[in-house]
Amino acid sequence: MPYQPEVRKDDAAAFLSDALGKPVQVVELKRLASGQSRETLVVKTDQPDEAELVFRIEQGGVLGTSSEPEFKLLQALHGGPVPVPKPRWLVEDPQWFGYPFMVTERVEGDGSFGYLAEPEKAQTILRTYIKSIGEMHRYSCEELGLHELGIPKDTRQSTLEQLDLWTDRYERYRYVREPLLEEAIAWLRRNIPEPKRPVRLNHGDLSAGNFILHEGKIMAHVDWEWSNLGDPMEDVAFFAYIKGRMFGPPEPILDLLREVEEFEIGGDELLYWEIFNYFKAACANIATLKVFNEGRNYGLNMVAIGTGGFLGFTRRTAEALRTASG
Amino acid sequence: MRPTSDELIVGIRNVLEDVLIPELQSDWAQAMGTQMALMLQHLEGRADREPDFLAGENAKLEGVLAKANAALGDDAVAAPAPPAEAGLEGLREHNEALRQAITDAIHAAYEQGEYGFHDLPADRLGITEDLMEIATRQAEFWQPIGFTYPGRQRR
Repeated sequence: MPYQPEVRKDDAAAFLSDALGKPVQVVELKRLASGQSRETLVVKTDQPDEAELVFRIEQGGVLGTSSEPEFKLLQALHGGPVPVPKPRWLVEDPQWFGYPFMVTERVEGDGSFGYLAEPEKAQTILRTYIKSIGEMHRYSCEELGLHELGIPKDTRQSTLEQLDLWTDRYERYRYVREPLLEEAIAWLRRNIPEPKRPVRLNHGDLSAGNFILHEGKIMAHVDWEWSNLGDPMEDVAFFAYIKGRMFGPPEPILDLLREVEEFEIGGDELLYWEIFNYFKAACANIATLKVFNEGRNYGLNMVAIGTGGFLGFTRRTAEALRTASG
Repeated sequence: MRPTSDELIVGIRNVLEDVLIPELQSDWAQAMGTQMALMLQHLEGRADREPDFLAGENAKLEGVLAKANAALGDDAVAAPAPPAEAGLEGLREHNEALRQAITDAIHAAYEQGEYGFHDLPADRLGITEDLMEIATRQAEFWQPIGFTYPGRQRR
């Protein structure tokens, strides 16, 4: 189904009436333009005792993820030391919006990143965010209550699992083979770093738009669909080399991360995770093309991601590999 | 016949940009409108461009495979036969088969010997620069689709 605000309002009201067992009206519904993998709706109801809600609707496999693992993670994390939105419903039935979706309570604060236009403010927020990243990586999986999710025995196993996961997505969604990416897959499998630190919670998509800020404090980390239990160097490299570029170049960000992380950041290991993350981004991006071409989602941004985005990350993967070989 | 496909595409894009997009209310609708303008810009001339582009890329890939096979010696991989079907579909199928063969060659190179962290099969086969050039040309083909809008280029 295409996004149509009035239809979505009716759909959301119908679902909430069913879920809450009483008639519910949606008084305000806003689609967030940011976020590529989910149609994200902020919904205000006529129920005085009901929080504002955030609907995250799958888009037919965009970026290669599903809602269930993310919802289970939020259930495990909510109320613990890593702040996340309160999960409310996971709905697999496509009758409401055409795709599975999850609903969380809206966290008070702002998830937009207009502050990036104000360099001084952006640097203050960057430091706050990086401190929260360090805290996230400090807790053991057991301390966070994640044992039921299946904790890999070490970072080598978790890295192999992540490689399998992303390679599978590439195989499912590609149209032709990309030799440069195929070389990277083979290289990544042969050069998995030896385990040096415990398995930790990785957010997987640390980004300026993926936390909620209120009065200078991180109220919640959101958009956990790429999360995994693995080597926290994945998060470090992802933020420094990919999404952190919204704040500035990688080196100063890596210096800040070195201040908060309890492990050494650098060397071949960091290079490995830089390459891994470019590969991961390329695999995620190619998924959008097939869901567009098969009519499962006809947002035109899907084409931009699946062509320009995929090729861009493929080239970055190959160039970083050349750094490794040079 | 006039207007040609390209003239119609340009006309549609002009209306989209001058008449429709300014009237769109939400951020989402405006983002989609801008993406539509990009798609239309890409479509102008694509029907003429694509066969030449694919034929050129296939010739380049055939050269890459020949170079890789020369380096592989006895472990050379099978080169795909030229396309049985003329036209765009044949070119696409041949392109896919060539990419598969080059991937096989990269794996065959990995099987030939020991590789360290700073060591890559495409470099040993001498095909890195060619593959990078092919990837660069691919990205150029898809212009102006991407995350930034270069601004309108009216005719």
